[in-house]
Amino acid sequence: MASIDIRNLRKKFGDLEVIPGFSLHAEDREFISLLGPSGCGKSTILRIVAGLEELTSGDVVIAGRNVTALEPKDRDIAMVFQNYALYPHKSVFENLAYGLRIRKRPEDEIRKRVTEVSELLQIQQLLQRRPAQLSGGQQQRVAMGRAIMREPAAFLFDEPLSNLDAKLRNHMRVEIRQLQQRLGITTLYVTHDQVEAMTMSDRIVVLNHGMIEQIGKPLEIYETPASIFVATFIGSPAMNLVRVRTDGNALVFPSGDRLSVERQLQGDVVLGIRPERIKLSASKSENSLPFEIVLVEELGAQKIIHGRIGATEMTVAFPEDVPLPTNGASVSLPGNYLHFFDPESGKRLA
Amino acid sequence: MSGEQVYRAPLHRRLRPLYFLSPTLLILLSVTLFPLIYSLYLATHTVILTNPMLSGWSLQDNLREVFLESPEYWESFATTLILVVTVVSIEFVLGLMLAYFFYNNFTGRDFIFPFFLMPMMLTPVVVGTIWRFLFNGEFGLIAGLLKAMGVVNYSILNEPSTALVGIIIADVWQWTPFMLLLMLAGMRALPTSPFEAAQVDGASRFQIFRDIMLPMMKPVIVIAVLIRMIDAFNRTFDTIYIMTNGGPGRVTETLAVMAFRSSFEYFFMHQGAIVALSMLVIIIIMTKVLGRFMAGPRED
Amino acid sequence: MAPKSRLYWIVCYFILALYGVFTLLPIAYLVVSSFKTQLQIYAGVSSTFWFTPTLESYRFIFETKPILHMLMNTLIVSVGSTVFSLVFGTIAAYALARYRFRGRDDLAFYILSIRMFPPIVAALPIFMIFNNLNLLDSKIGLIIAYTSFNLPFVVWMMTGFIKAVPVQLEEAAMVDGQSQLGAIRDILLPVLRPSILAVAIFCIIFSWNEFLFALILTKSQAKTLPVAIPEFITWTEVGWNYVAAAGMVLVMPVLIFSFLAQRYMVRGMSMGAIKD
Repeated sequence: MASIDIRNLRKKFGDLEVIPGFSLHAEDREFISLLGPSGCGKSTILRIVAGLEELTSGDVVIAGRNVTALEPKDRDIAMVFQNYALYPHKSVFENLAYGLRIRKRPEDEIRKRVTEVSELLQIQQLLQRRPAQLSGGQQQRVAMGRAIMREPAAFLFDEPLSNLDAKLRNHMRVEIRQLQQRLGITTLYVTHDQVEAMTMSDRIVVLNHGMIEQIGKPLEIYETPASIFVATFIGSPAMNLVRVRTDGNALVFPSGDRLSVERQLQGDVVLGIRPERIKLSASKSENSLPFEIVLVEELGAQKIIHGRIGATEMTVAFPEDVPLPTNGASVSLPGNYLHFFDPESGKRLA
Repeated sequence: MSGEQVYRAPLHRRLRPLYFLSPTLLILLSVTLFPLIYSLYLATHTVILTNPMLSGWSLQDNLREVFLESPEYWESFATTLILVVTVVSIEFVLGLMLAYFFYNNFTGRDFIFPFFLMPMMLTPVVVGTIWRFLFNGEFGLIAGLLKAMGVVNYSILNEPSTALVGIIIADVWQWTPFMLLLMLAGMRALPTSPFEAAQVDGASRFQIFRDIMLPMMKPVIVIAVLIRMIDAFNRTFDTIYIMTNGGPGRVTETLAVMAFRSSFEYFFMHQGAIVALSMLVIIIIMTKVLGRFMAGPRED
Repeated sequence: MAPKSRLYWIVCYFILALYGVFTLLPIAYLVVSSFKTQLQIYAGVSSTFWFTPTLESYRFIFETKPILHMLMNTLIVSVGSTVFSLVFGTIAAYALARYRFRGRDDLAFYILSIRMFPPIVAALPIFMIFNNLNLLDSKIGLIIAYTSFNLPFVVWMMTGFIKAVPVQLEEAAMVDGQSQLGAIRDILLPVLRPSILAVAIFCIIFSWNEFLFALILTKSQAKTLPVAIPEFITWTEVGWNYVAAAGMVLVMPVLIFSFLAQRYMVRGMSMGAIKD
């Protein structure tokens, strides 16, 4: 059982409190992403779990053992860094072997393990090279290999894919996830890329200013974002957000257009709807709004249509194979895909 | 954080930077602070090695002796100033020009470059002797060349009007390579796209150099000039000691030479200490003022 | 940049050639003079570079002065002070580069500013203090004195070099199971090796060429070669060939060494100047 428990973690740099209290429980074998914009404290949390950064208060428990006061070397973790941090003066073989050498394991065990790991990652032919002679993707693999050499209690990833090009990134995403599932090692994965978080994780922790905005399974977070922040951070193109007035069962757009909904709401609310949930058609039907098309982006599989309802800008994702209405389009916003947020707190309205 | 368990890293871990720094700090304090205090003691007392009977507090007398009773201190001050300003200006211009040439690609560049750096590796005492003999009126190479031009037995270092020029030539010879090295490193670290942009905009080679390259090199120039100024002020001792020992008369006696001679030729330790301490004050003022003046208004 | 005009190249080569002559002539003068006899020194300009070389001057100086002894002193003091400064200076630089603590930048500036200290300010009191401690004319004393300028240099340079190494390398080693000191030993120091070499070369050359401290603090036992040079210059200046030979003995090791280690030196020098 290698669960990770972070309890009431706080971190101050001088007077600046970057993490005002963070708790998280990761189950054994679970893959959890820490997702947020740069400066949200996600890397700091990871480094505290690794023991590379001192914490101000709180506890870190790995596999039932309180490691708060332990040095990184005694925590039984492995970490993959954003810049890979391969030892430049050691060959790939020695990079992989280093952790076992420190532990004074016998030479033949080290050899055997390096062989296994390098086969797993398909880097056998690189073992004699130096890091400087490797491509970015190869360095990434070696960094991964170094992490799995010791079969640690937990993996910590600090934006491991952000230095790779888009194609390689997609590929490594799948590979890391498969590897983690196969090895069954509890994983914390820090990223600012929502696609990585969505596709790889069992659960996502969305962070903002050191605080948890939402914890949940990827689809939960996509379908019921807990705040405006989460709503805009997850999903591409981003969710449309319009501040509207309520009038009984109707939402009144700034343009004066009205949309009736099934819910009873009070005062001003922020209405959210994902571009891919909006229905665009040529004919005006009941409860649809007039839509003026401004710009069409062709993406191949779909079109992204930028347009306006009155003066309110709205983005619509539209399937490629359906022809666009030529003159006079209108949109309808299906009621079960509407999100409502409090305009002051930004929180989701229940 | 009431009642909450505040985590404290183990003391030995928090004190680690102190452990790492303490040997160095201890050594540096003992070779700077301690001598400084001792210097202050020397400066405020009468300490004459050849006459241990005289002693006691005499700050006012010492100050009067050095700064007021004879013009020697102020003559040395002026000599030092002239020397520093002249050598640093010449070395800067020459170093910059040579660096600009070495910035080009040409055949044999990397081969000849180390030869241009050789003077700065040489022991200053040896540099001093070489130039002393080059300038020698009887058999020196330069005197020989002068003789060929009709000037008979002219010893540059023996004439009060030219002795300092001789010192300056030797210093420029030894330290221009240092400027060259720093300027070249600075130039090579610059991105080339601004030069290309200026070229597209129609700037001439000289305009690019003056309007783009020089301003971009300002940080390196400031550092290089500062280092050279401090070193010229502090460390021109060796060459002067060998070439003229301050003479003829006192025309090449800089403050450093004066401090040395007061202490170790006349054994008036207190006078030497006062001159030396005045150098420290001057160097502090010089770095502060020049650093600010040359750095200009901070942009960052 | 764009191709240059022919005139530009002519000017460029002309100035380089002129300056090259200015730079090399005095060194050549030293070299040839060391292979002359006293009579040949007087032979006039035309035969400056045209004479029958002899090792007479070298034989003379080695026979009349303890050149080897002084050369050994110079070497021991240079290497001793360099090793001493490098060990403590690198450790201090590590603290300055890798930790954040109150007053760190002031401390770094204080250490650097010691390099600006006029040596004569330290030399006077160090002479008096060494006199009392019986450290005059001892190699240990000279090593301590040289550390006063080598140590700040090491701290300054090494702080920059360590900052340039990503801290993640040490962190990766610590996560791999190594202690902090172990990570420094296994990872940081090997990565820094070329930089340490560059700094060491400079320290050795500074110490090798040092004159003022050696002049004041040594007499015979610990006397270094630079101090002996002036002693060859007699009042009538007839011994230029001997001075030249002694100068050659002193200067050649550094010149040969610096040509061999040129790559490291240029790198070290440039890095120190460009940062900050």
